[in-house]
Amino acid sequence: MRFLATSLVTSLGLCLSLSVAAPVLADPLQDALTRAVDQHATPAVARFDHAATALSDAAAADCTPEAVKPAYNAAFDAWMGLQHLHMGPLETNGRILTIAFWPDKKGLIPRALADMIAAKDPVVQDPQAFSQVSIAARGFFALEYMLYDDAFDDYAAGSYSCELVQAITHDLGRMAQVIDAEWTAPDGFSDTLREAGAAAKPHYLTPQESVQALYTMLMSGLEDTKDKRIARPLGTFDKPRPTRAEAYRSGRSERNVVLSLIAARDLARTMAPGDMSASEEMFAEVIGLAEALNDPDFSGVIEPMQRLKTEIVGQRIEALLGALANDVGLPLGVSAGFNASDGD
Amino acid sequence: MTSRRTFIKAAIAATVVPRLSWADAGSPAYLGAARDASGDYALYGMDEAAQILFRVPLPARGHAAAAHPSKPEAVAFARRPGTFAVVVNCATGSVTHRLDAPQGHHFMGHGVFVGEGNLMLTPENHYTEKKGVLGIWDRAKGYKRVGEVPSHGIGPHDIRELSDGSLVVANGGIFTHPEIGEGREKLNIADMTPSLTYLNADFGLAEQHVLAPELHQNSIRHLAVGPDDQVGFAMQWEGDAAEAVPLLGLHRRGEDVVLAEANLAEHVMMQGYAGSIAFSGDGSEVAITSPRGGRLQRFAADGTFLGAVLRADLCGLAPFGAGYLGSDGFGALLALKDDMRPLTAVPGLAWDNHLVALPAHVA
Repeated sequence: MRFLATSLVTSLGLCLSLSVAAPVLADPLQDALTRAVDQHATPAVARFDHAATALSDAAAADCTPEAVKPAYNAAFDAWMGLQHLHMGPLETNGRILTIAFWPDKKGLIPRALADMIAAKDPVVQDPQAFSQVSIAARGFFALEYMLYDDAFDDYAAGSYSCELVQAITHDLGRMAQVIDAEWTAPDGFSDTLREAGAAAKPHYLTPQESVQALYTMLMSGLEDTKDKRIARPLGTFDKPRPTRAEAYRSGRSERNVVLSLIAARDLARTMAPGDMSASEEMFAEVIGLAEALNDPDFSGVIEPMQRLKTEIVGQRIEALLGALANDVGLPLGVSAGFNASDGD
Repeated sequence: MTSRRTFIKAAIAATVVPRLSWADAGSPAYLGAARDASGDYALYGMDEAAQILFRVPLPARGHAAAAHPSKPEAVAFARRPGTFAVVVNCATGSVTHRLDAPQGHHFMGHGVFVGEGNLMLTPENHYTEKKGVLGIWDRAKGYKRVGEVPSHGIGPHDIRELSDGSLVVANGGIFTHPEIGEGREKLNIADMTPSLTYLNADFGLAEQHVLAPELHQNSIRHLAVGPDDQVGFAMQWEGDAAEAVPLLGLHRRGEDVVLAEANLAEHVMMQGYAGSIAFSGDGSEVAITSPRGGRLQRFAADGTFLGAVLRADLCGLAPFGAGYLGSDGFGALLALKDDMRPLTAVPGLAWDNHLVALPAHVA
């Protein structure tokens, strides 16, 4: 009896101190939602807007590859903080794929660019018209060909290719601004997410659905990194496919894996209602493993040892997904979509 | 809750009057299978405004259902590779018959009543023979199995009846075996050959379409029939999703198949997967859903892309008003056309894959 009473007092004391220390946990769903939108998504939208505008400005000042590359990489870095959020203004009019058309399995990008250059298509002088051209001639991957590929990067200021690079960067800057505007406007998408069913422009019926959507982005973003960024260049053991790596021309393949993991960790931290130390440990491990690859364009996957190391990064992401389901999905009461994860 | 009273009255009436019509079940307009918050599975009936009228428990995860053209009877099919189907009296909520697939067969989650509703057909995987068949069940004989005919392809999935009594079958092309893995492992992806197959009313092969060789991994899975017997078929790509192949086909008997896709940026977002297909309520257009891509895509009858509506995990689809009724894994039933309008939301309920529209004349 005496023992019981003591433990009761202890646990009461524990409850008390917990509620004092973390009063915000009253509504974990709304709390996760507010934090994920305000601390993760909205700042990422703003960073991408600034970086893409800077890229557009840099190319306008000097369109030659070496002058554009630093701003290109800074803007791509900013995009990696956002590209997992397949929702709202990012999804409207196919913007995600227009900004980052990869993988380009059919080789549409070099064909579209070569056609425009050969025809000296005047569409590059009309931003409105350029926003309607094929997504193969737009976005980061078209630009990567222009800046890094031998077949395209030998151009001078004032040439047609120069104008094309300026048109692509201007178009990227414009899309980033539109995303930012639609995200942050009064009754914009950040309100749609945060206020869910009560929003002026509702899309999610309840806060649970908004959280569900963000959780799906967290998990599918990591799955994309595992299944595309890592698995595509791995190919099979007998036939590795280094030229299927994302952004290998600009040597960003490994960097994009690392940045996508960091973005996922950032989102997970804003959503987790309590302790996520298991996920934190695994994030630290897998980010460390990815950085230690020292293989910027994943060309090393043709070597068995390097291939194995790259493969292990994918396996650790798979394990991380399980930890996140426990640390984030379970306490918030959300899981992967019933039909999306198991169709027929 | 008129619906509940109607249901109870119908249940009482059922003990006295054996001749029931769909009106006795509250005149449902739609059927859908779902998993509820406690993890149980059931078949639900909804009225014309998508409000739930009744719930009939199912023994395991359902997939789609076949509705009798006049009697308030629905056959709910277990999800592939399930071997059972249950006949549900939707007026009383009772399970009146249980259908078991023969040894060496399993159901595919779909079925259809034909003629006046005297026969019901079930696409089946006859896995011991590695062929697709249609099981034939006689309602008047208490849903006795009275025969089977070849589906003329592996993996028959969905089946519909056309106005002249002929049949259209989606032979998905994928072979699975219930004793291998979870029973859903795809065993012949390298040489799968899906087909759109028409059978005469007497089950003879009438017409068959196979896609171009480079599209042989595009599993023809689900069907919808529109005005003048135009057939729409939804596909699921087993190859690299980055190839972004068409996921919608349109066809009329005797003509060439028309494949349709949205503009590239929109199309790629479907992730190579169309889950359900339906013509709009006014019959002027057709749509496919992708729960993975979280969207509905609408097309004109000639295959022109009309627009997309975004909604995560959207899958079930049926005609509704001038547009569509959609269902998702978050318990919502939504009116869809140019945009989405929620009609019903049951927290904790996860709608499964398909919505079945009941024949218009039963109300």
